[in-house]
Formats: sequence, C-alpha cells, structure tokens
Amino acid sequence: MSEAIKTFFSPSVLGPEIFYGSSVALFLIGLYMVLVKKNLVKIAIGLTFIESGVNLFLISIGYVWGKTAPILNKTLMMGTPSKEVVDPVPQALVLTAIVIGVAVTAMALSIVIVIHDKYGTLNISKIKELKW
Amino acid sequence: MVSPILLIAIPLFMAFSVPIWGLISKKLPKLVPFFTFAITTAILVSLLPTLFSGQQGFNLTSVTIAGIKPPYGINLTFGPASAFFALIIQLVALAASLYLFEYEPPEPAEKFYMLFILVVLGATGMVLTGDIFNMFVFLEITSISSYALTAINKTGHSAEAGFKYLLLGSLGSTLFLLGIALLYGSLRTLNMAQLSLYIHQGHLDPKVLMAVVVLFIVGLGVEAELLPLNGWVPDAYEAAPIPVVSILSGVVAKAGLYALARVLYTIIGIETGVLNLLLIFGILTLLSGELSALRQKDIRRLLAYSSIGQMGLIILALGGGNSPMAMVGGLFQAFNHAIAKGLMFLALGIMAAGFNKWDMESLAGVGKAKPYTTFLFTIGLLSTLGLPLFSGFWSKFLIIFGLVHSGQVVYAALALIGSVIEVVYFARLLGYLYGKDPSEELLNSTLESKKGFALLGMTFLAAFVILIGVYPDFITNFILGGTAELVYKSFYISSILGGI
Amino acid sequence: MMKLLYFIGCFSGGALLAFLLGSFSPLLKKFITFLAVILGAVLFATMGTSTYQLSLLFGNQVIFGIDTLTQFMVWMTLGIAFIVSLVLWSHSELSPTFFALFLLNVLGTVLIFMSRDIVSFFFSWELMSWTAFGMILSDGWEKKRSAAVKYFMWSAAGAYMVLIGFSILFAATSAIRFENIVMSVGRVSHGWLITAIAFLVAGFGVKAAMMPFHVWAPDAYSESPHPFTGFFSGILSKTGVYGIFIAFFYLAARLEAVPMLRVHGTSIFGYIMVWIGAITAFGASLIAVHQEYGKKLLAWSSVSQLGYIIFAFGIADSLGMTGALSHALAHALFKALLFTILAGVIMRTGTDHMASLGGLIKRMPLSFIFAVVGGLALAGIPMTIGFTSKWIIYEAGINGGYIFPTTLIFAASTAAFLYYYRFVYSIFLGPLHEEHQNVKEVPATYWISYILLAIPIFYFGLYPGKLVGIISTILQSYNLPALTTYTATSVTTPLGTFNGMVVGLGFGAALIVGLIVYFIGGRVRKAASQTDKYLAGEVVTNEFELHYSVDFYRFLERKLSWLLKISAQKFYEFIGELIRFVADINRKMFFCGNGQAYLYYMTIVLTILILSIWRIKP
Repeated sequence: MSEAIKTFFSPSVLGPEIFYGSSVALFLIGLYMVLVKKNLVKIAIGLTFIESGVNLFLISIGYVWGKTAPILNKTLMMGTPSKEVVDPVPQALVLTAIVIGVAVTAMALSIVIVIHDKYGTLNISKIKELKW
Repeated sequence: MVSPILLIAIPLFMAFSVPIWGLISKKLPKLVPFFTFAITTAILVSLLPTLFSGQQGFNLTSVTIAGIKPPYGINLTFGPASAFFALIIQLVALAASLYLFEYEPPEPAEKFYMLFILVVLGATGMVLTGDIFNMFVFLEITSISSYALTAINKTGHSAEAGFKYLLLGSLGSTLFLLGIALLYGSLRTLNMAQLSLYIHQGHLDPKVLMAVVVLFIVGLGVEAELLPLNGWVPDAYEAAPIPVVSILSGVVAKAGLYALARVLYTIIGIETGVLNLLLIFGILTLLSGELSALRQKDIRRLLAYSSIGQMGLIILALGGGNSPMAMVGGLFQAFNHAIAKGLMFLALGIMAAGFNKWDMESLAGVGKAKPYTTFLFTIGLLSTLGLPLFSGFWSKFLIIFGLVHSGQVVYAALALIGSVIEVVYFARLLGYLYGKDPSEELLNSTLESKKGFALLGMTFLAAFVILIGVYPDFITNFILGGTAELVYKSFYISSILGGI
Repeated sequence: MMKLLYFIGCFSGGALLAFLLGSFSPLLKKFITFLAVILGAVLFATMGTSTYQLSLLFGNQVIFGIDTLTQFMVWMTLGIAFIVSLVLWSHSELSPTFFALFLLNVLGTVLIFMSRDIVSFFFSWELMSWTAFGMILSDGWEKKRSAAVKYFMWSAAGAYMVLIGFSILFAATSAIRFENIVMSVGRVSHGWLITAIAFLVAGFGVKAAMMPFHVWAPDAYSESPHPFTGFFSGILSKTGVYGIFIAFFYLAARLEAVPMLRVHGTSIFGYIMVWIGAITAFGASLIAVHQEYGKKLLAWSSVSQLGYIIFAFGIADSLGMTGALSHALAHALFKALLFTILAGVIMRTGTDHMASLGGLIKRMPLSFIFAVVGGLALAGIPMTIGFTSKWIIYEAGINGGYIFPTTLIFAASTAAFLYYYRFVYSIFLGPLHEEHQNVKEVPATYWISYILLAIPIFYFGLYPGKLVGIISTILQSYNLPALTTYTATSVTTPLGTFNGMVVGLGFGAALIVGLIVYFIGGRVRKAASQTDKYLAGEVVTNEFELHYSVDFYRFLERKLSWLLKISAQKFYEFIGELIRFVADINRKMFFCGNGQAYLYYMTIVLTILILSIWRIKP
C-alpha cells in the first residue's frame, strides 16, 4: 500500500512541486476566506489556512526526496546520517510556527466570543464602531 | 558576570511567576512589572560601558546560547543599535510600570501584569536577537500579548480593536515568516550575519531578494505603522488601557521599526530600490497620519494619528540612508518619539483619571485642574513638534538636513508640510487644555496628587526629554554607534562570525 | 565661552526661577524678570565684540559671535525688553509661565542675532517662535484661538522654509558656519542657490510680515498680551528683517554677476522685494485706516512699516541699506511706545474698541502727549527718528529710480497720517464716555517707559548723523555701500544734505506757534457732551451707533472698497478648506473601521509590490 502511494507521489508522476503548489493553494484559499467571508469565525479559519500554507512551504523547502525524518536511530547511525535525512531545521521551525499559529487562533476565537457577546453579530462589516 | 541574556531571562521568569506572587499577597503582582524592569534597566545600563571600548569607538558582542557558536546556534547580539533600542524599550516600560502602581487593571489582574511583562520581553528579544527566526518568535510573543492586552478590557470596543489588530498583525507576521522561508530556502541559514554575508556575496537571486524585501516591509510594517497597514492603530490606541497604549507606541512600534531597519539595512543592505520604497511608504504614512489627526476630537485617536505621522517620519529618515545624517536623525527620532509619546499617553491617562472622557471638549481646561500633569503632557507635545529645548528638535533637524543632503529635497519639503499640519492640531489641542475653564466634572475627578508614582515615572521621561533637548551630545554617540552598526554590514558580520 | 554661558544662564535661569517661584508671590516673578533683563544687558555690555564656541551636537562647535550689527540689534532688543519688563511691574495678573516664556523669548531673539551657524540660528529661531506662541496662550485663550493657531502655523511654515533653504546650502557646501558657506558658495549651482535664497527670503518674510505672508501678523499682534505687543511687533519682526539682511549679504551678492538675473540695475530678488515692500506698505496702511480696534490698527500699521523696511532692503544701495536699518530701529522705538500707551489705555479702560473710547486726554494727559510723540515718529514728522529713517528711504527710492513703488510708499505715508489721526482722535480727543469718568493716569512704570522711549526718538531725530554713523560702521564692516559723509546733525546723501536739527527745530517752532493759536482760540470753543447729538430731525433707534468714531473714514471706504476686496486671507482659507477636504477623504478611506478593508489594503499593497519586483533593477 505504502509502496503504491510512494509510486503515485514519485517525481516521475507529480514532482516535488506538488508541495509548493499545494502550499500556494492553501495560502490563496486562506486569503480568499479572509478577504471575502464576512463571518469572523470563517476569517479566523482563513488565517489558519494561510499559516498552514506557509508552514507547508517551509517544510517543503527542507524536504529532500526519498530521505527519512531527521530522527537519530540505530539504522541511521550505521551510515552517514547527514546524507540520509531531510533538513531538520525547517521542521523545528514549523513546530514553533504551528504552536504560534495555535496561540493566534485561540486568541482570535476568544476575541470573537467577546465580540459576539457585545455586538450580537459576527458580521465583520457591522463591527465598525471605532472608525475615522 | 551580567549578560544580555538576563534581559530576556529575568522578565521571562518574572512574567510566569506573577501568579505565585499573587498567592503570597494580592498586592504583590502590581509591583512585579516595576521591579522586573528596574532590574533589567539596571543590567542594561551596567552593560552600556562595554559598548564603547573597541577600536572603532564601539563594540559588538555576540552572546551564544547553549554553547553552540553562530552561525549554527541561536545568538544574541549586543551592539550599539540593539542596546539603543533596548534602552528605549526599557525606559518606556519602566515609566509605564510605575504608572501601573496607580492603575486598576481588569480582572484577573495577574494576567494583565504577565502579558505586560511579556510584551516588553518580546520586544527586547526582537532587538537583541541575532537569528532571524528567533526574531519572528519574539515578534509573535510581542504581538500576541499585545492583541490580548488590547482586548483585555472585554468591552465591545476593545474586542473590536483587538480583532482588527489581530487580523493585520497575524497576517503580517505570517508574511514575515514567508520571507524567512524564502531566505532559508535559498541560503540555508537563519543567522543574520551569515545571511548578510551570503547576500553581500551575491548568492541570492535579485528577484528573490526583492520579494523578501517586499514581504519584510509588508510584514513588519504592521507593527511599524506603515500606511495601508496601520488601520488598527487608532482603534487599538483608543480602546486599550492607557499603560498598554504607551507600551504599544513606545515599545511595540519601536521594536517593529528596529526589525525593519535591521532586516533592510544589515541583512539586505542599502539599495536604491529599498530606499525608494521606504521613502514612499514614509511620506505617505506621514501625510496620511497628520491629515487624519487634523480634525480629530478624541485625544487618544489624535495622538494615535500623530504617532502614525511620527513613525512615517522615522521611516522616511531611514529611506534617506544615503546620508548617515538622516539615518542618525531617524534613530534619534525613534528615541524621542517613544519617550515623548509614552509621556503624553501616560499623562493623558492621569488627566482623564476618574473621569474617563477623552474628547477635547470634556478635557478642556485640564491645565487648571491638573497643572503638573498637563505640564508634563505639554513637554511631550512640544518635543513631538520638534521645538528647541526639547529633544525632538534635534532629531527633526537632523532628519530634514539628512534628507536634503541625500538629495531628497521634495520629500523633505513634504515632510515639513506634514509638520505644519501637526503644528495646527497640536496648537489647537493646547488651546483646549489651557485656554478654557475646567468643567465641574473634571474638577471633581481624581486628583493628580493621588497618582504620585505615575507622576514620578512621567517626570523621569520628561527629564530625559529636556536633558537631551538642552544637551544632545548626551546621547548622540550612542546613536552614531547604532547607525554604524546597522549600516556597516562588514562590521556586523565580522563581529559575529569572526574575521573574514 | 564662559561669558556666553553666563548670558544664556542668566535668561534661562531667570525663566526657570520665575516659573517655579512665580506662583508663590507675584512680586517675585516681576522682580526676577526685571533683574534678569538688567543682568543680561550688563553681561552683554562686558562681552564686547568676540566669538564664542559651544560644543553641542556630535561634538561639533556651534558658533556665536558679536559684531557691530549684532550689537545694534541686541541693544535694540534688550532695550525694548527692558521697557517691557518695566511695564510688567504693573501686570501681576499675567501668569508665571508668561514671565518665564518672555525671558526665553528674549534669549532666543538675542541668540538669533548672535548665531553664526545654521544649527544655532535655527535653534534660536524656533525658540523665539514657540515661546511667543506660549505667551499668547498663557494669557487667556477663548477669543484668541484662531489668532494664536494662525500665528503658530505661519511661524512654523516660515521656520521650515528657512530650514529647507539652510539645508540646501548645507547639502551643497557641507558647511554649517555662515562664513564657510560664503566661502564655498561658489560651488553651488545657480539653480540651487536661487531655490535656497527664495526659501530663505520667503521664510524670513513670514516673520517680517511681508505680503502675501502677512495674514497672521495683525491678528497675532492684536491678540498678544498687551505689555508684550510692543516687543512682539517691534523686535520679533526684526528677526525676519535681520534674516533677509544676512541672506542677501551672504548669498545674493553672488547672483549679482548673472546678467539674466539682473533687473533695473539690481538683482531680481532686490527688484521683487522693492515691489513687495511697496505693496505691503501701501496695502496694509489702507487696511489700517479702516480698523475699529486700536490694537488691530497699530498691528496693520506694523505690517505697513515693515513694508518700508523691505522696500529699502530691496534697493540695497547705500541709501537703501541705511534706510532699512534705521527704520528698523525707528519702528521698534515708536511701535513699542504706541503699543505700550495702548496697553496703558486698555489697563485703565478695559477696551481698545475706539468707538467706546474718547476724551481720555482729560484723564490721561501724559499718555496723550506721548501718543502724539509716537504718532509724529510714525508719520515721519521732523525732529523724530521717523523723519530720519523715512527721509532716507524716500531718497533711496527716488535715487534708485523706482517711480511707481516710491509713489506707493508716499501714498502709504499719507494713509499713515489718516490712521494715526483716527487713533489719537478716537481715543484721546472728543467727549469723554461716562463710564470712563473715573479713569486714572497710567502708573509710574508706564510713564517712565514712555519717557525712556521718547528720548532716543527725539535724539536720533535731531541728530540723524549719530544714527547714520552707527549704521555706516555696521555696513562698512560687512563691506556694503554706506553713507560716509555726515556730521552729528546733518547727513549728506547722493541727493543732497539734510540737517535734522534745523528741520526739527523749525518744525518744533511751528508746532509751538500752532499750540499758542490753539490755546488762545480755545477760550471760545465749547465741548459738546456725549449725549449731544445732532440728528437733523431724523429719529434713530438705539442700535444705530452714533459715535463719531464709528465709520470714521466711511468716505474712504466707499471709494476703496474694490481694493479692499483683494484679500490673501480668502486664498488661504480656500487652501485650508482643500486640505480639510483631502484630510477627511484620507481619514474615511484608510481608517474606515472595517477590519476586512484593512486586509484588502494589505493585499493590494503586497500584490502591487510583488508585481513591481520585475521592474525594479536592484
């Protein structure tokens, strides 16, 4: 099964561009949601889409086709680890970025709750008491 | 041995220990921010002499963390530029934390103090770090805590302002992250000195470089209050509690500005395209901010727009980077703006204390009801206008001279038109504050003498304004060093990576 | 070095003390101010002509120097400042802030005259500007708001024009000292030099109330605190004149050699200034004639008199320069006198509305006498300094062959008679109002200051050679054309010789004869009471003001109404409206309150910038 998936995603079929392509797609979907949707929750979800897009982009930068995760185990220790694993730095970065993303989303949603309490609506065009 | 790491470690420890102090006594958490910042300021001041000992007249030390040397490990850099911005941040934070003694934050209070320390911690981290991803992390610490602080009043307005800030801020920092990803993808390093070296050696495709510049400007421009990205500013300044506002304008904006300057000058390097972008952004921000303030009635919003205008002036000065004079003026102005705006917002808080109306009509005549506070406010105001005897004079003078010196006469003239508009609305504001008779309600509001500690903090800032206004050389060495550190890439690179 | 620091410390320390201690006792603030001015004058007397350096910015030396011109201007400043500080003894109602700002203002003004480089000049210039605003602000506000804001706005605009001019010079020469700029001014291209001079002259012109930058001056002069107005209009405007002088001396001379820029035998700047000065002098006098309020009248008169000075500067030969500098002193003296008298009238009666005053000669005879003295000087009557300076200016205009501008200047002098007559007649002559029956003469501080001001007015009127001598020394030290033939009482000009003593004594004799005739004839005159009105059978309502001071010059107003409609004010109001319109659009667009719109802006900016990457050549 995993063999089949590996073949399907092999460079000869789709190429590593699929990761870049899908990260751009995620980014654009998120941007669309943020710019077009009026509902605050949907906008917050859009923000997480944008973040996921960027995170995916970051991961795919460090990904080297056909190599394993940068976890040091016995098999790796036998050969030359640096040649058999993908770049570990982006993965560390993405871990951090994901955590930050969660914090932002949590913050956004908690503010949305307060806004819903006070304004009774989630429509962003109606929440403009502060202006000019 | 004191180390710059303590500037980050101590606040981090203190921030998360606030609830523990709260267990001992309900009153202790109130004191925690002040003592934290007092300690960090003392550490910073004790570190300053080490800056000016090297051959070039100043010195940059790289502090490695966990024993891994740069470019592999995360390092802190402590040079004149970092120290200068750290000093700005600490001074404003110290004054604001004194204000907290007399401020009743919304419950739970521990959370407020914790976030308050975290904002300052994040900003300090941003200016001290030598690693660009680390800068992103600190940026997020700063901005998430400031979203929370903006929305902490839990009123509709504060939630609204917080959400707007969050929308722009999180999208902005995501773009910043994207820029970092592009840099890492091309150059495989995150250390700023290493990045700078590679870019200097031409390892980066110019188009990617410009894409990174654009992403950084748009990303960091949210914190630095650049024109189309600053919609959150007046709302947040209006809705957030006053000590938070002074932190937003004095600390967060300055950290964003530092990040912008560091990234564009040290990492990317001065290029005509970048400078033109900065000039255009700067002048548009300046004019838009000043024009918006012209007919503003709410003093908080007025100061917010003025703050936007001032940030525009600083960005404009950074755009005149062909002439070191403009750059020096820009950094000087960053200092003056942080101190003066922090002072003005804190004083405004006392002026409206126990009264809670913020428009000019309600606060008219406050000069008679609360003379000392209004006097301090006026000092900040005159400094912002760039009048002599106050520190703002020198920076504005340097910026205009520097801009003309680098050949941007038109931009200088436009900036001065913005300044004339600034004079108009501030003169009108002064007229309201001093010229009318205070209302009964204002006279019956909280007396300024009951706010002794807050006034102490403000007096401290005002003393700086006047001291530097009378004798600018008090600080200019520092600023010259800071400019040199930001502009001379080779110095920065060799100080961190060793000789090349 | 130390002496300069003492001098600065004397004023700034006095300001600090007056500010801190003034709230405890009104006596203290007055005493400190008075003492600081006297001490400052003493210190200045010991300084002589010398140069001082201060290390201020980046370890650079800023230069302060004293030469003969500086001495002339500074003594003028300190003299009027002394008068003000004397008069202030009767004004305890002014706040300590006012006293502190007054001292700082004097300091700023003196430092302008002393500064020898761009940094210190601009520093002093701004110090002088904002402290004047602070003084207007500190003295009540309600009805002064628009005047004060207008003043501050214009003075900022002027200062910034000066700043741009200076910075262009700096960028082109890399020098901040005036002497170094002059040395390397040859390296500056003509285009930049003209731009710099234009900015400098326009910026200084704002302070010197040059049309079309005069709109702030009448309002600001008339709304400033009464004892201070003499200093404001007499001295602060002279800083602008001084600025124009140094701009011309240091820079414009170099343009003389360019044939394209020469008109009528002088540089084009001079030619423009002659016209601007003449129009300012004439236009402002016409407006002054129609003023209802005494301070407004004198304020417009100030604008007009400054026009004379600018006119004379534009001519820029030996007569023009001498005329300009001597009229600068003359204007400072008689305008300080007239404004101080008016301050006394306002102190006693509470108003400067001329229709509400009248007949004060019976209650304030001393003020009346000195008002006549001031008026004689203002109108340029012999035996006063006004005659000396105006005569030289007329001769300069005639000698230079500027027929039309000189005609305008003559006409302006005629108008000066008209408004001065209105001023003295409405306030001091005619029937006395009932509510002013118990008005007292001004206190001693006032009439002492009148006497102190009248002495130089007469002295330099009778001995014009003394004044011309001082000015010749100044002009020669700057290598400028000067009048060199003069004795104590007579001055020889290219058009002939005039003897101030002879003309003055002759005129004085005629005046005495006139007075004798008046007193002899006066036996038969009968003063009508305020209530005696001759209505010719017409019944009028109470709202109709019948006082003779209302519509004093109605016939003139009817004839000249078309001219008075031309107003720079309307143009500036239009600009203001435009800016407000743009400001509102900007505000409602970029800060519309919709969070999503902000995100749109962000996306648009990002898209534009990303797309433009392919056009940027790094």
